[in-house]
Amino acid sequence: MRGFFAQPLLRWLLAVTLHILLFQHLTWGNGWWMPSMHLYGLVMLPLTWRPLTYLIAAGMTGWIIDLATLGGGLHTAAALLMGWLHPHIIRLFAPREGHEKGAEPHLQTLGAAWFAAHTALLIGVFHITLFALESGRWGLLPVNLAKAMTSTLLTWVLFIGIHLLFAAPARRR
Amino acid sequence: MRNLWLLLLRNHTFLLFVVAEVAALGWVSASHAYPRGHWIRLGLRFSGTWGAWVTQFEEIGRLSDSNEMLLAENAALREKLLTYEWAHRRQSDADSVAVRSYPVSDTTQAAHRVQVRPASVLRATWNRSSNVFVLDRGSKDGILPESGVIADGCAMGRVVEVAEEFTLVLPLIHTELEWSARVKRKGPVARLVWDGKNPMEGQLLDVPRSTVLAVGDTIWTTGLQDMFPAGIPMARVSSFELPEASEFYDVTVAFAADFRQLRYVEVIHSGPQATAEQWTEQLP
Repeated sequence: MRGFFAQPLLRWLLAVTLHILLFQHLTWGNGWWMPSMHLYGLVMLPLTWRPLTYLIAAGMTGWIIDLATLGGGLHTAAALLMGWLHPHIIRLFAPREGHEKGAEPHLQTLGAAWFAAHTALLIGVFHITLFALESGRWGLLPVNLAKAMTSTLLTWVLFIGIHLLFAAPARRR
Repeated sequence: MRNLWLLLLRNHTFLLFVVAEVAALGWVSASHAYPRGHWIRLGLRFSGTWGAWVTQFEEIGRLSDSNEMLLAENAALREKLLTYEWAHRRQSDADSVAVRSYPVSDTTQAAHRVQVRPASVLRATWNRSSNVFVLDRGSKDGILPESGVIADGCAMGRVVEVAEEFTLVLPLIHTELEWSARVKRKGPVARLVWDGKNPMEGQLLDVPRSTVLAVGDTIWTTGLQDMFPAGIPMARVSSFELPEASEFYDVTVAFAADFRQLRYVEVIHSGPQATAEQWTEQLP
């Protein structure tokens, strides 16, 4: 039971810390390419947790990032929406018989297409909300939505890379 | 009642989401345009402390650059001082001691006193629509809210929130703010705004068609806003056009400060009697 929570918690902590210490400073192309490393811990949460857990984890993440980066609530609002949609997105791509208890999003066990879609949707929801709220005026919305797309792409590629490099091979059950 | 309770219990995640999202959006709307208050001060302390750590490491690599910059600034200041003294000496046909014998009265000095506090930039954003800068000086260093901030002698922003050790500044590149600006030294007053797209360029609004404009013309502060005295450069005209049947130019300006490179700034605060706002308050 301890391992059930310990590994995701450690991953979440590492991702948030890395974002605050390093990734928040890495923005390229006048803000067009902005990696959101802190989402990695949320995207990789086990697939069978209670919906409330995703919401609380996402809200906490957004709140911490807002405090650390002077985001003024933008990250909290975007992360909360992502956290609420998280179980719905899991259900959208779930196999007919559902996921095994404690199953984690893993490229080897669930397939490249599943992993790519799951990750892209969650990151996309977060970035679209973040950039839409950040634009603050209708005139900036198209540009900011385009920025959301590029940042989603960058974060998605980053997560796939990290997953391929560091995720332990899936265990056979 | 029991049914209602069961309904709430069944949808508790959704309800919590709605409540938390509304609170978060409230935070966004309260802090997006003009960030002030408890949460901002808390974030300022957190962000400032971490920024100070990062800056310490970065400073090691920047020392040689900083020295060169300080030397250049010293040289420029000395040149100005010498030119000033030389000009006065010629005019009064006296030596530099005699120049200092034209004292300005205490009342006038107090009325026009401008406090200048140097500060380093700990954290800066230039890729958002609502950008912020965090400085390493705060209320204990005498920095006050609503002070102006200049970089290399050019206007760059205004102080909005001050914690004990850190200061939050909104720069010219902030879509929710407008700045009073004058075209050339004696030209008309206009509004300087930023459209949120390019951190190097802003837009000058309300420049009447009667104005004689040229690329390269300097845009200055007017002194009408409380935080800056008049005559501080803000930007230069980079292009302009007069739309058909319009009474005003569309002017694009290049900001004088490079917001992507700023490391050192000065926070200026005018003496209380010198503010235009207080003069206008005294009008009948």
